[in-house]
Amino acid sequence: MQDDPHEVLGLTANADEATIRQTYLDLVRKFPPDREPEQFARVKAAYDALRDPLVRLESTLFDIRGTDTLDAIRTAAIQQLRDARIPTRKLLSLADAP
Amino acid sequence: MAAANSVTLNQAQRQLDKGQFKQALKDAKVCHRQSPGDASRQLLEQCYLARGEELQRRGLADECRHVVEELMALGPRLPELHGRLSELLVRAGLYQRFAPKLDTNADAGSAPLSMPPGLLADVAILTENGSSCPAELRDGATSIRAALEALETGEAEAALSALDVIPRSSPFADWKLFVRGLSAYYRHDTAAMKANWDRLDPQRKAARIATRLRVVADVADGQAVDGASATLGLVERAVFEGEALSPFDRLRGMLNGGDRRRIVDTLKSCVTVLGNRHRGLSDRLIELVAMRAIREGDQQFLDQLTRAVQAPARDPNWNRVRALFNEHFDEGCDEDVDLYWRKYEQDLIGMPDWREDDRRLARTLVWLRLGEMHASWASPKDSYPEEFEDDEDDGEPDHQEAADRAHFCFERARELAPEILQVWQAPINACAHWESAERKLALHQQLLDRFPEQFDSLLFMAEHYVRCDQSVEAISFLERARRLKPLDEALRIRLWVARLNAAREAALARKWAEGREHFAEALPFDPSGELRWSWLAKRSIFERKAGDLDAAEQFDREAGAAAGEPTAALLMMAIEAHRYKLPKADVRSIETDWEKRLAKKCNSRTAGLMAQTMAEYLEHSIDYTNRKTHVEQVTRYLNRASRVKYGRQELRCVCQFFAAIVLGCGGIENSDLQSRSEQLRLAAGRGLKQFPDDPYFTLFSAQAAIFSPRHYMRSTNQARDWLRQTLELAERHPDLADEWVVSEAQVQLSSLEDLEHQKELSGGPFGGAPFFDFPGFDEDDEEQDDGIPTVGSPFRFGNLEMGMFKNMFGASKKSAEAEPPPMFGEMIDELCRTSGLSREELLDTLLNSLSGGNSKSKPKKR
Repeated sequence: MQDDPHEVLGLTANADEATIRQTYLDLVRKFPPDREPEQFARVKAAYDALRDPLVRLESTLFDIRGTDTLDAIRTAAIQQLRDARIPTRKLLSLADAP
Repeated sequence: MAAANSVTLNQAQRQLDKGQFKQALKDAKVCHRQSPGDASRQLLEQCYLARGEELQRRGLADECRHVVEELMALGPRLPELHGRLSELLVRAGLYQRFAPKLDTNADAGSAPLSMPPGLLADVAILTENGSSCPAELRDGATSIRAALEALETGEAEAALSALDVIPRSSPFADWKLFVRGLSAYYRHDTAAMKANWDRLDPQRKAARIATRLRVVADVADGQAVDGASATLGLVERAVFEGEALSPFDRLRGMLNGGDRRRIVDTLKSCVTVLGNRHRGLSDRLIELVAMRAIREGDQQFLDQLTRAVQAPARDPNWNRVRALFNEHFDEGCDEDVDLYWRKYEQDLIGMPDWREDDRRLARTLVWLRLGEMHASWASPKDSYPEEFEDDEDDGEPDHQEAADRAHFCFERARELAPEILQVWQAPINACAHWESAERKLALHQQLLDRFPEQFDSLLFMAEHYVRCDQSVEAISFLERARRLKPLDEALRIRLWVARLNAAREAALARKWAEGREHFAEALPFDPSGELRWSWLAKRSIFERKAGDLDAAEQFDREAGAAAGEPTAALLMMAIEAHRYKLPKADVRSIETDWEKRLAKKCNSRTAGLMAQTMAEYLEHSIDYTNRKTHVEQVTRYLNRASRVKYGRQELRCVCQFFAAIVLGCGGIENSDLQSRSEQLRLAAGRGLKQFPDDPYFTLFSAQAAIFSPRHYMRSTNQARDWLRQTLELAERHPDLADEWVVSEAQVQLSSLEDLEHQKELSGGPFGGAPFFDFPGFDEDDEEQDDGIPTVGSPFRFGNLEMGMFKNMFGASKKSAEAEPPPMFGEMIDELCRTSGLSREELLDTLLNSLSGGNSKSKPKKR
């Protein structure tokens, strides 16, 4: 049976194109084809499946397996917190907070 | 009076301690009015200050100013309050008015009432009403706030240039470092952020903000930070305007068994906090919970969810979620699946956040899904045993209606995205079980018109033309396929077979030159000469048909020599003589020669080659007049040859022959299953003994066990063991196994495991419905339906035409559509014997176990 490409790359179903590519590149660095050929082949196959927009869309629409997790969403929320430009008034209020 | 005054003073102190500043101030005023003294004055000062700070925090500016004015009129003397008072004056916008008074109120020897400049600068920045600050602070505070506001809008350069006016000695220099660090924080430059923020004065306000933002940065980088949750809570309240992260932990606990209502309530509060600004996050949360409800088949949970929260952007009316729910939930309504997917397709048209192309592709996928669903409902009911058919209307659409709907849906998908391969492939795959041969042909042809390099469709077309005895047409498709995969071994064999078929068709049309040309063209496809003897045997018959008897005899002799012994070549010639429609006398003459050779002493080479030849014709459903007799004659020969010493390849061929009979290949009638499966078992057992590392013999042993008429469950357990062993051996000895043996073992193992799963699900005494998926007898078997073998076949080894797909030799329509052997009845009888039940009782029990107690209910096809 073919592995779930999201699982192989350690991505959630909502991962966008840039994230997919970045994760793939990271994994290729981790599993270079000359040293980890089997692992590389798995990663490559998963990436090939995911880079196809139709496959991604299909997963978005019909996959009920729930590759997304609370932890992943929480991490994304923290990332949004990190990336947010905090309004000046609210930023300064952090100084007075207990 | 003194006692009363004392009580009031204590009361005021208690109120102050409890944080009830309003009441404390009232009591302190009364106390001081009634008995002025140092103690009451000090308490009154404290109460004024605390109340003023409270009002300022609550944003009640006028009330705050009023309280501060009263305090200043009183003339504050307590030195320990000076710092707080100065800060309050600045925050209340009264600093300039009362600053001159501050020093005059100080007692002799006490510290001045004004704040340290750094803290004053902090207050000036933190106070929105900067105009109240001393003039020398106002400009600095304005510059820092301007810089912060510029950073908020992403204008880092403007922010940093706003800091240029602040000298290093300024009390705002600390904030200058903070702004630079904040700029680095926003651009994720951790090193620069640390370099600036590490230099902040820890007593100043800027350091407090920086410390909190550093926690966020560290947590986002995946570092563990002590007490991070409190800090994250502060920052998330500033960013999300509420707590969004902490409910995640509660939600996690609830999803592991909490009650549904609480899950929905928590989710709702989370989603409300995240709001539209963070729609992506809230949609993911909703989706996560909705998919959970779908997987659990919990209708009530789903209803609560859809009522409580806003539908996610990708499914604005919950139609997709409802379609998926009905699709996956066993009690879901099929018609609802159709209805909701169609509604969702309409939703997609107006999906604002999606790109036009994504909307079009998504709609295409929905139509494909609908098409596949209707196609699955269109499977003809006669694929179920008659005994299981339900007379009552079960509400499912009939075959034709479902087929029409499937066609409509696939057509819509094709209209929307004709450039996508799937829209052409999906109808082929989905309708393979019930679509007419003409329609299948048209679908493949349409696909090839758009995608001329589709290998599978090229093979399908080739097979079709071979079946129609139009091998020349078939060759053109095979040549195209060959250009795509020049090294494909199975394709090489297909071309070899197609050329020899074309030669036979030419002979039947009396086109001798053309036939000889095909024979010549076939030779390059057998570069090793492995198949030379069969080429010679067929060529001999061709020449006999053409009337060139000398040449025929010459090829006849060469065939015997090439095969190593003439008996197998004679068998092939006898078979081909029938297929070439030679005169009966000629056929009889060849058969007589063969029978004479058969009567001689047995040897393993002859046995192996004949078994393989015969098995191959059987497996590829090639029927001819005398096939049954030939099978019996070969069987008798093999029985006689039970004591000869076989080589590995020869023994494999013998097993292969018995397996073909047991499997009912080519529609061969098997009147004595017990004896044939026993022969297969013995041959495979002999192979195991001689070649214990050969996965072929474990596979054949599994087949013998599966078709053993002995106790059903015992046999299948044994078969499963053999199949697992096959896979292990194949892994350990890749040189002894090819793709076919591995894929065949995997398919059969998976079928047996499905069977076991059905048995567990139904929980009846005989398990689920083993008969529907009985390995080897599945009418819906892919190979039988589309005529393309999954990988190859055991006939690939040896020196005959190997790996040929079914009907490649041009089997008659009758044999190609031959019914599988009547196994169902035999198995029912076997189960009756082992269970001691009558046939009727057994069927009732089976039906009950299938329907969970509701007898006469047909298993859901999905």
